[in-house]
Amino acid sequence: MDLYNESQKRKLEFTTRRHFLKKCSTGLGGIALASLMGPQYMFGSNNTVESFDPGRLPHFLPKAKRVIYLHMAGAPSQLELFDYKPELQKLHGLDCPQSLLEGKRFAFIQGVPKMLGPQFNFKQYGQSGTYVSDALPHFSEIVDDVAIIKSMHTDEFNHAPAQLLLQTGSARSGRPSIGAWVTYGLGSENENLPGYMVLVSGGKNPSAGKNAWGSGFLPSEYQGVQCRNSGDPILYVSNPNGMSRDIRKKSLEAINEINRSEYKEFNDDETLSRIAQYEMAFKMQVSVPDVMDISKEPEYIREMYGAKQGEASFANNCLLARRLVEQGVRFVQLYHWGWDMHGDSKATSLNEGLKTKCGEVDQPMAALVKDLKQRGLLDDTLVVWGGEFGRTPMRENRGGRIMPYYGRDHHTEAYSIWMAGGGVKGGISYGETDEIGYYGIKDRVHIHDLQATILNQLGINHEKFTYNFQGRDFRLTDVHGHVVKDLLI
Amino acid sequence: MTFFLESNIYQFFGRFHAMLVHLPIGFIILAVVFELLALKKKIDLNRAISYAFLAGALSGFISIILGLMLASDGGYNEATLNTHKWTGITMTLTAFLLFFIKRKQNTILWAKKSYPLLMVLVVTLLFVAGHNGGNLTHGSDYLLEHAPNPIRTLVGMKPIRDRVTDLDEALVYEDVIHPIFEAKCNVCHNSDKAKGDLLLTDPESIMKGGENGEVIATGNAKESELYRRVTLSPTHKEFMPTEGRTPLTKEETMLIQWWIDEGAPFDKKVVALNLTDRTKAHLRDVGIGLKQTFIESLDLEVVDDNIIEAIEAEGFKIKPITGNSTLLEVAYSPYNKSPITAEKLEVLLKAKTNIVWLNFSDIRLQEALIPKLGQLENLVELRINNTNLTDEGVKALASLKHLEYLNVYGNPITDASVESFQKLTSLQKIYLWKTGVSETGVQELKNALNHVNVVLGL
Repeated sequence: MDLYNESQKRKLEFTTRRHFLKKCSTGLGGIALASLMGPQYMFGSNNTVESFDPGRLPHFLPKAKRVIYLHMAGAPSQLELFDYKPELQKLHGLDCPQSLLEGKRFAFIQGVPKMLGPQFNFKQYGQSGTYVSDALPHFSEIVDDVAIIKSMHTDEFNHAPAQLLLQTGSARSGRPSIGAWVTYGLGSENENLPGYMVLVSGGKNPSAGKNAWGSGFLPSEYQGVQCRNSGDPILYVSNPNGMSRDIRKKSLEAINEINRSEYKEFNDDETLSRIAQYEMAFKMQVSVPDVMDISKEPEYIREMYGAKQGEASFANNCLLARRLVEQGVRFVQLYHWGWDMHGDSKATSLNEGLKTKCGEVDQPMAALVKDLKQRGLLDDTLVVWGGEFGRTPMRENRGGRIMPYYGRDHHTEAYSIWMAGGGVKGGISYGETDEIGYYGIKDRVHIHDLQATILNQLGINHEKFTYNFQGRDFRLTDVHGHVVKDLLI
Repeated sequence: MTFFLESNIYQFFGRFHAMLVHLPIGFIILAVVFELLALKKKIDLNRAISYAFLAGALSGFISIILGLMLASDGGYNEATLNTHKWTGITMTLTAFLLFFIKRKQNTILWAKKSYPLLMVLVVTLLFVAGHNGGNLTHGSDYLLEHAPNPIRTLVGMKPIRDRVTDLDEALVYEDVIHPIFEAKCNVCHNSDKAKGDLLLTDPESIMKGGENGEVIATGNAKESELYRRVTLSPTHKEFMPTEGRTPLTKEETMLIQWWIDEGAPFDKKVVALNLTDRTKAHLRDVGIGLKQTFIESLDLEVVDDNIIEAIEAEGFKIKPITGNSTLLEVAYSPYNKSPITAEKLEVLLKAKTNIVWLNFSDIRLQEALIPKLGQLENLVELRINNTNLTDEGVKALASLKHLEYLNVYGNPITDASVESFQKLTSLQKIYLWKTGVSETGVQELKNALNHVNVVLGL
């Protein structure tokens, strides 16, 4: 028994009927006053699993019912993909002016770096005439369905804190991720699958680790459920040899029965979460292998994505993401690792490494948007693509030396992401950066603004969506965030 | 003493006037109530009455001093202020007089005779002074602002004009700018208070400006004092609204900027001005321009909880489309092993008027049941893709007059359905991928319903 419980127990032993009667005169008066002022002051805010009423959400008519978030972990270079800067080409190889360096901290750049022009050619595509680089030939086919935000900015220049800021609204770990918030607020549309699922590709997990899809202080059933690309999609979800589904069912029922009496005794909400998780796991034994099996897709659909069975690829995950949202999963989070092009090796060079990475995501992400569109899912599914920060217009010079390959350092002031569907305008570019892509100069969008906008599309007012924890109300956007209305239909 | 020199000591004390002034009101009313009580119950309350009058008179005296301090700042309507001042002073003197009369009971004949008259006088003065004081603080429109129109016309006020919220009809001043001024500025800038000699209640006064000159530079918001003041940092000394009143929202200041830049017109319609998407979004924020969609126009009774529970028991997922809506969305999971039967559908149809979104994708639906869906008179979105819908079934859906979104991809339907689709007059989007509908069929549909967006495979 921990100290807190012990002190509670002592207090209860000490308190007698005499204490109760003595306190009645003031206590009951207080209760009466509280009920006069309004019952919400009497019972406190609703923050337990049982008392939370998801029926009150959404706050207003939602444009999007679900989200697919394609997080490019490591931060792709906006200057090689979306933010076309011919002026930067003219400055290529020149020393970076002091004015851009004074008072700034970079992750690796030291001394005076050289300016680095865009490493790919840009062309205009679609009816909207959106600039896209050669690195994304498939993406250039969907530009008219996509809104590119070129003026994103963040507070953090290291991967893990920047990923946490993007996913949880705070650079420190411990807050619930956006997917947890959304499923907590809106629930799942399919009781046979978790509301929040996570698929990882690219070789490694994102630097922020599993905190990036954690539930923080929300009940733990709202954390993201990670699926593996081979073997059992979810570890230990299938029954061991000799355990039939009937026996499994009976044993889970027995465990839940025990847990329920445990809950009656101790009133710990996490017990309820555990019961819900066991029940969900049992349903997932059937639903997950089914939904995660891409061999059920026709050949031409797999080809469209470039998906190959059994691979841990972004293509497979994009196809799975579509299958999941089709089944009503509320929030599908994809991570594709390996965009950190510093230029210290061939694999992290802009000319080689970035091209490889683009090759891995270009076809699948374009196919995802097209496939959602032809199925009528793009209307109410919001797709977001982007990294945790941007990259410098200067060439990285780690340790003050010339690097073997072209690379760029981490940059917080300006970068590009794109969104599609879910009530977001297609064929627009929002925000502008200066002529070398260093600062956003028009309509800047902060991470919290992006989060506020995503929640807004789901019918949630980010300022009203709070959870009371340790004595104060928490929000995904903390005390920040403005919905970017110009992006919306 | 530097502490006092730096602050405006008159204003510091003066602000307490509004608080203290309620004491004489209370005491004097108490004295009058006691007097009536004594008369009726035949009891002796003379001492209490005299003290109540004394307390009223003394607190009235202090209130007068504080009131004069407050008034020294200026910015109040002279006539109202004068009435308030002199009725207040007279009232306090009368209260003193009443106190003395009460103390010296029955000794002076004229005093005894005039006592009831003085009582009536003091109460009258109390109400006149109180009402004028209220007008000085809140503005003369405050009291009857929300009065019903008959009362407003009775006292000679303009009847309330119902705010026009339709973008095409709304007037830029009456429906957009004036309500902002009324809500955020006119507590202080009205004909009774006119802080800084500025009134924002009517076009003439707005253009006239205040003690520092004009506040609106027509066509140039950035040069306009009014715009500058409301967009300063809230901690700035000159920021408006002052005294911790609710500041204007960003959208409101943007609208004022737009209005001034467009020449600050007073009689033009919103649509006569230059309108960007952003301005339209800001107008929406203050409630202008939202053409009601069909869903918003629906005003339906909430469906009984028992019916909802019965529908859920049949395996349907049913919930309100927003947290506080009476409208419902319904889905049936393909994971659900028992197929939809006529009995199940009958239970669902108990809530048929309230169902606006229906998702029956990826499930087998008996052909004979599809015509029943035609009873969902208010259905706006229907997803019935990847099922076994035929041309015959589509015919039965043609009665859905409010259907805006129809997803029938992956169904064995042909060009024969195009005729039925054409009857869906509200249709905006239709999904026909993986159906037998041909290019010519699509073209025919587009010709008949030219606003409809047909999505095929990509």
